[in-house]
Amino acid sequence: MLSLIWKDFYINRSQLVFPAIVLCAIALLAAMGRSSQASAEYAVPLLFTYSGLMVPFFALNSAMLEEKNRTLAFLRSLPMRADAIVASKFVSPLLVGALWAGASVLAALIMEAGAGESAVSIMSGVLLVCATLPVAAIELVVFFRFGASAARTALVITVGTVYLVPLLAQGLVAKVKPLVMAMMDPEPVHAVLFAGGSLLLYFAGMLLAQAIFRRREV
Amino acid sequence: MSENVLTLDGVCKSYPGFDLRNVSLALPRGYIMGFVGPNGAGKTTTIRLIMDLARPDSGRITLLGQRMAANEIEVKQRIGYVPENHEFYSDMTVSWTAQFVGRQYPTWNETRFWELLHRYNVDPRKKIGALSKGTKAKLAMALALAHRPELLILDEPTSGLDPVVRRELLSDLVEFVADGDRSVLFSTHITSDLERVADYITFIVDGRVAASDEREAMLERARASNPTASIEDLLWTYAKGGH
Repeated sequence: MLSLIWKDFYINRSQLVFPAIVLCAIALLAAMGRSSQASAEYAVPLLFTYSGLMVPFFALNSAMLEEKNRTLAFLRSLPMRADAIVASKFVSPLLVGALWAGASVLAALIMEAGAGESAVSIMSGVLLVCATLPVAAIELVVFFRFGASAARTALVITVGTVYLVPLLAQGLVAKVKPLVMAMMDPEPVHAVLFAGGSLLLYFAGMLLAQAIFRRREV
Repeated sequence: MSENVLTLDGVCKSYPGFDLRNVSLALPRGYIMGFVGPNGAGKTTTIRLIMDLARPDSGRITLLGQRMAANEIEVKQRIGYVPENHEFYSDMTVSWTAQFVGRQYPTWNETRFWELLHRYNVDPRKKIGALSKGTKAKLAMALALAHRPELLILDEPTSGLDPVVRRELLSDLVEFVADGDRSVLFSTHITSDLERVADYITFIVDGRVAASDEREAMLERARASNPTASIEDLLWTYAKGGH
C-alpha cells in the first residue's frame, strides 16, 4: 500500500506545491520580523481557507485523475488487494491533512512570535482539518460507488449543506454560533473528542468504500 | 496430458443486451492458445472475468491451479496481463510507470524490462499521454513480460501495431513459451496471427464457445471436407452458425 500512497502524492504533487509556497512565505515573513497584526489578519483567513480545502480537494483530485486515466482497472489488474487501493485513497488525503495541520501549526507559532501576541488558536486550524474528514469520506464513498463526477457533486452538496443549513434555518444561527466560537478556541478535551469522532467517521467511510469496491466491476 | 494453467468451467455472465453462456476452456502449461471471435463475441468479457475485473454469474475459473478470489495477490504475481485499452497515468513517464509496476512483483527483472523497451523502441523519458496506441501496447507488453510470468493473458495485443512490431511481438510469444513452462492466452480477430503462433484455438461466437481444440486437429478435420480450409474459414463457418 505504501507504493499506492506514494503514487497518489507524486501524481497530485502539483496540488500541494502552491499551498506549501504560501505557507513558507507566511512563515518566512514572520521569521524575518515583518509580520504585524495586520499581515496576520490576512494570513489567518488564508490558513483557515486552505485548512478547509486541503483534504477534500486532494481526495477529489486523486479520484478525478483515476477516472480520467481509467486506471482503477489497471490497479485492479496488478497484484494488490482492492481493499488496499481504497485504503490508499483514504490514507493519502489524511496524511496531507496531517502534514498541512503540522505545517500550519508551525507557521502560526512563527507568526505568534513575530506579532508578539496570539493571532490565532493553533488548535482551531487542526480542528478545521478534522472537520473536513467526514466530508472527504462521503466524497470518496460516492466515488467508489458512482465515479468521480458524482463525487464532485457530493462535495459541492456536502459543503453547501454545511454552510447553507445554518443560514437558512435562522433559528439555528444562534445555536451554531457558540459551537463556532468554541471551535475557534477549543478546550483540549473537546478538541480530542472532535478529532477522534471525525477520524472514526472517516475510517467508517473507508470500510464502506472497501465493501463497495470489492463488489464493483471496473 | 500436461497440467492446465487456466480452466474455465461453465462460466456465465449477463449484461443488458449481452450474455456469455457456459464458457468452458482449458489451456495446458507450455502452450499458446488463441482466443478468437468476431467483434462483440465476448472475448474481452471472458478475459475480464479471468482477471477478476468482473464477477461471473456462475461457473468456475481456475488459474495456475488456484481460484483468483482465494489467492488474488499470489495468482496475479504469476500472471502477465495486457488489456485491450492500455490504461496508465497519462502525466507520468514510461520509466516512472515501470518503477511503479515493478514494485508490485517480487520477480521483476529490471534488466529484462529495459532490454524489451529498447527492442520495442520505446523512449523511457516520454510521458504516457504522448505515446501512440501502438507504443502503449509495446510498453504494456514489456511490463507484462518483465516479471517473467507463468501465464500471459493478452487482450487483442496486436491491434494497432504495425506489421513489423506485430511480427516481433508474436515471435516474442513463441520465445516466451519455449521453455515449456509458460503459457499464453491471447484474444484476437486477426486470424493470421493464430496461424503463426497458436497451438490451441478457442472460437467464441455470440457469447458461447463454438469450438476449442488443438489448431492442427481442428484444421485437419476441416480439411477433410475442404482441403484448403484455414482458420479464417473456420471462424467464418462458426460465425455463420456452422459446425
